[in-house]
Amino acid sequence: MKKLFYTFSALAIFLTACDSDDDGFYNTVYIQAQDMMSIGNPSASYSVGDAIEINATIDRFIDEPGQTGQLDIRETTGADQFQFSYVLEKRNADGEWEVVDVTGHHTEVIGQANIGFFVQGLLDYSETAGYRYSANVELWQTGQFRLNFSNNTEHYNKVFFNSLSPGNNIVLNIFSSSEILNSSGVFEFTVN
Amino acid sequence: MLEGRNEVRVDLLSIALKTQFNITYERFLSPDWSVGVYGGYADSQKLSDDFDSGYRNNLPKYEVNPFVRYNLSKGQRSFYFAEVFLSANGGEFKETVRRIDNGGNGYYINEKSNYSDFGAGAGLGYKLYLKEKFAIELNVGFGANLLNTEKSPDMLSRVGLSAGYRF
Repeated sequence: MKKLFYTFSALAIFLTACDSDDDGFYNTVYIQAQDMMSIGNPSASYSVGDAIEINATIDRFIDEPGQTGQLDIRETTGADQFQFSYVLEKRNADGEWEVVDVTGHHTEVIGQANIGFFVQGLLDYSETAGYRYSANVELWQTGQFRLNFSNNTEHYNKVFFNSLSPGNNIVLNIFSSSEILNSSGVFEFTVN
Repeated sequence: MLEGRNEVRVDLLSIALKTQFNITYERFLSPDWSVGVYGGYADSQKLSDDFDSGYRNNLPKYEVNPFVRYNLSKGQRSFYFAEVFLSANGGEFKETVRRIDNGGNGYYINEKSNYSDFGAGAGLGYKLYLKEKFAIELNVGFGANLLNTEKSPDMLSRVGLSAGYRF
């Protein structure tokens, strides 16, 4: 009987915390898209002093595969900004890729960016142009480089955008393919 | 069998953890058998916040659980019991749906609705009487909703630490 008491006391503690609805986040919508990120001046080779132009565009109204009518992103999210991220990496002497700090070599033309271990790009919304971002990354070193836009999901080779929705509004997550990226979600180039 | 055949209890654990106001009435039919009903209403700020923020898609509000108990250990002042219960419960449900606006464009929105469901379950418990009048009870049980499981919680839990009075 004492064993029975201890057993279901432990079960009581367990079941108190048990809730089948603790999993998941229900305010989120996922969609697939194409070519929301582009390189303005793509090349396999650049020179020191050149700058790579990174552009991101999310129109307010976008086609949604399998759905009636275009999706109104602004009405869905109420967001003033979307965010995405990328890192600049350089291949070292051992053939491994290392993150390069672009502080001082990153200029935002449209939108905003937070620069740390990675660059968080922020697309700003306007009624006339939708969500826009454009930035220049100055190339100040020689070597083999890549811009890495991949993410830690099954859609790792796509650019991941998510809305900065206010309050409890729906968060829209967009996985966008980009023809400039290879199958690993990176853009590789050389600087001479 | 103890003199009083009726008991009223309050589950202190539910009040503390779920902010669920509740009361139970139990009628002792014999030394071995009793029947009763539990009623509870939840008003948890944390659960409401989680529901609004999207961390859960339902918000249980009320439950009425009739039950039948059997004394397992034959003592009257302290004993283990087995319980079978039914549950009528309900609350709010939220789902993300895609609508079309007046301009023919689609948009996603969270829509709330009310749900109700019926379930059943079983459990075990231990009861101790002080001075043959004041009851302290620990019970653990679980069950499942049966009819409206797309909206209602899948699992029902009956975990309680109660204090009561027998009369």
